[in-house]
Amino acid sequence: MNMKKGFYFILMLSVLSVSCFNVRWISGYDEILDQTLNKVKKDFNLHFIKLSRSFSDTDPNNQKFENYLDYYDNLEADMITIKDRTRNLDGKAAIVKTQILTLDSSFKAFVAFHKKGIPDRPIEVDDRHTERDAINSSIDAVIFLQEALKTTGKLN
Amino acid sequence: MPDILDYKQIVSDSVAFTRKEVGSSWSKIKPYADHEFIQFAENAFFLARLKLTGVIEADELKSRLQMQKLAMQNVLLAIKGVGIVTAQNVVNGVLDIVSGAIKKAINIILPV
Repeated sequence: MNMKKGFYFILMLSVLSVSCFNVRWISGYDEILDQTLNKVKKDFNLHFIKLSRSFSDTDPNNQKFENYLDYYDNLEADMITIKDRTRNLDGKAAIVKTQILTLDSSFKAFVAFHKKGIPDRPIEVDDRHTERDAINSSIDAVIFLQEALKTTGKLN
Repeated sequence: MPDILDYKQIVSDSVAFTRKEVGSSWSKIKPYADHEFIQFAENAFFLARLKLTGVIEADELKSRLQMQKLAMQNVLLAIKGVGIVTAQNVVNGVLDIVSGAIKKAINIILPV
């Protein structure tokens, strides 16, 4: 019995010695990314409030894409910052990188949706909340994972 | 020498730690996933109804559904990532428990 326990003891010591470190399968928390995403979220929602006012009235011109270029220029600058920040991360950041690319695709889809033209409709018929929800969900998903990454390597 | 290591205690501590860690993770994932899945279903239904009542055409439905799909893709990536973080925390926690027990028994500090 003692021989068997001794074998397992040595085996366990060997495994632990070979490990020699805490495992790390995913990248750590990124404060700058988290902060920038929160800013992007606030900016988007402010933009959407203004935009929704314009497509629920009777003026078909005030919601034109050209009237909102400032917002889209700022958004593009923020997304360049975020993408550059994550581009050179190692393979353990694969999920975060994919999330950022997906978020970028979400915004590109929203820009295309706006460029194509958003016709006036009564707010009770179609307030376009589905697009607001989609963009917020896409941003929140990245923030949600960043929150979880704060616990990486810590015992709760 | 091996007899002084309390294997039962190590297993008990490791299982308790794992249960706590997984439980804590699940309690964060569940309300998040519930909210996102319900919202996705409601929004898909809302868009389908707009198409059915003639408010929007097929191409608008397609482009608006695409945004819903991308959002859900990011939500699922977040859930997958949190699962990996949880597994990683469990493994590191159990490594700490085992190395702590070894240190207590024979005063060897393992570099874990």
